[in-house]
Amino acid sequence: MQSRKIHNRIAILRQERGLSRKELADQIGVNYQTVGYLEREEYNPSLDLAFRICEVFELPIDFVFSTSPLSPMSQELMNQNK
Amino acid sequence: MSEIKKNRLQRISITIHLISLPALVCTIMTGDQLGSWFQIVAGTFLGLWMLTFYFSFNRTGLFNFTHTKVKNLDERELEVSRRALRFAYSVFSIVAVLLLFCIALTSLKVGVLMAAAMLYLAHVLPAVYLGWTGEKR
Repeated sequence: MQSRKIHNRIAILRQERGLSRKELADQIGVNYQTVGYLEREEYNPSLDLAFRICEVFELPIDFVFSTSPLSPMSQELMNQNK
Repeated sequence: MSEIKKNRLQRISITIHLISLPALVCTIMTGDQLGSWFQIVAGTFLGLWMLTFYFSFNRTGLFNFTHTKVKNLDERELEVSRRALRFAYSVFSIVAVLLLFCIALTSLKVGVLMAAAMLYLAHVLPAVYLGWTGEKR
């Protein structure tokens, strides 16, 4: 079965929190290169890994991952304020 | 060096490696017929085999990666490793069956050298897949 592409905000959230790929990788228990693959959306994480990533960022899963392309966070904030 | 050029060089190196292995085995098995040329031919194939092993699998870390314990791999690496092993199993089965046919149809002898070459092939095939497709660790 061909799996769907899962879009994510890992790169922007990691940079926002000032974490290196290695630091994030250590926290979620993967190789740092896997973080690169996740950020480039070249690899779909398992549900367990997706939850671990969300626990690090303390955000709901639907904010970090989506099956449709994610809009910029600034735009989402603007929409919430309206 | 660009990624495409690197991958092309890697594929050339893998091709030479895969050709030099049976060539070396055949050279040693038919050593008597080559006479004084035996040492030169066998040495050339051995050198090519060792050099291409170093450049394709040792320096790139692919051979080590395919021999890493499962507990030391994360879920993406496990997925990559699983794909490589699946390919290796398919190819090795075909090669082994073809070799059995050749042995049954001809008077080919199965010596220690051929058995060792087959054992080596079984170990190197997952790394061949990773090197050929360019899937990195």
